[in-house]
Amino acid sequence: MDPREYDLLAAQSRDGDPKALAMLYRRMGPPLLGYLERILGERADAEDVLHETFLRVFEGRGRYSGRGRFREWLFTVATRIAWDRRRQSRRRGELTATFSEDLIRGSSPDPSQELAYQELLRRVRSALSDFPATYAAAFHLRIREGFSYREMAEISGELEETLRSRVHRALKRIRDTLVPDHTTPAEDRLENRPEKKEDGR
Amino acid sequence: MNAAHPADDRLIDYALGELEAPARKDIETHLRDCDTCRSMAVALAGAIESVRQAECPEPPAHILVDLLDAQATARARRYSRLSWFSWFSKPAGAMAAAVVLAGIFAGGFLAGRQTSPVPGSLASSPDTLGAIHYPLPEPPDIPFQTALGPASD
Repeated sequence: MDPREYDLLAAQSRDGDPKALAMLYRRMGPPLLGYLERILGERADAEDVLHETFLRVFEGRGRYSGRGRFREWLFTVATRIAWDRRRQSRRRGELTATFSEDLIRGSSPDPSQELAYQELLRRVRSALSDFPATYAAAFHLRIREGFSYREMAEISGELEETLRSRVHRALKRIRDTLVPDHTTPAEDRLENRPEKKEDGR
Repeated sequence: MNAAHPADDRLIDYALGELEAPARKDIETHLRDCDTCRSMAVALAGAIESVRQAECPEPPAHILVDLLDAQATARARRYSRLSWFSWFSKPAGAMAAAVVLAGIFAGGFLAGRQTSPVPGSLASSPDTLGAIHYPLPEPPDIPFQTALGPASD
């Protein structure tokens, strides 16, 4: 979808057009909900944040300046609300796993391919199941949504290099799960390097 | 070819499609000869592709219903605030408003004419009528003593 079309739908939603709001919800609701689940872990929390994010769209809260970057702005708003929610949940001790059961669902029509696909997804999910939410969020934005690191930095308020490092570490974990016996000379040189502590957000 | 293994991050950049053409070509040349790196690249590419093609969860319809309600409420609030201004923004409304205003002015003018002071009336006052002066009736010519009654002495 052309980024300008998102701008138009957002403007029409703010002006009170119900069809525009419904279309925007249908287009942006699923990817946003998937992303919010990565951060919050719970479907119910993700739906609450999705609701609040869309309310801000047509109530005109926040400052969207147009120029074809509505999708990025929407993820930015959702990210802020989600992390606020997560901090509140952590204070209340309600936090659960960051990768819920339906992280990935395949839709391949061929049963044999479907089985292989589901198995691959299961292993990917398993590899990332105990990763911090910051990794899950970065991985989702880069791989699933295709944002650039610059866009991700604007969305999350973090450094591009930090985000790139998180995506790479997630992929290394996946690779280690899928190809358990690999060892390259490059890794031989680095295997004794101490792991950096993450903030565990 | 083991001495030429690419670094992990390089291989990941390749799987993500983030390398420029010359660097990409170097990696592909290496992958043709190195089973270890090829198996890793295939695993990474498969994992990335599976996540990219994965379906997203469907958001519930009740949220959309709530949003549409909130949107309708916000629209109604905005229109009630702007209703006076919107009258003037439509041709029919502007014409009706003009007729009403003209009626008010005309009515005020006629009413003003009907309540204007009658020349010579006691209600007239030089202050309220500006420079227009109306003649007051002359007092009757009555002798001083008659007016006060007969003298007591």
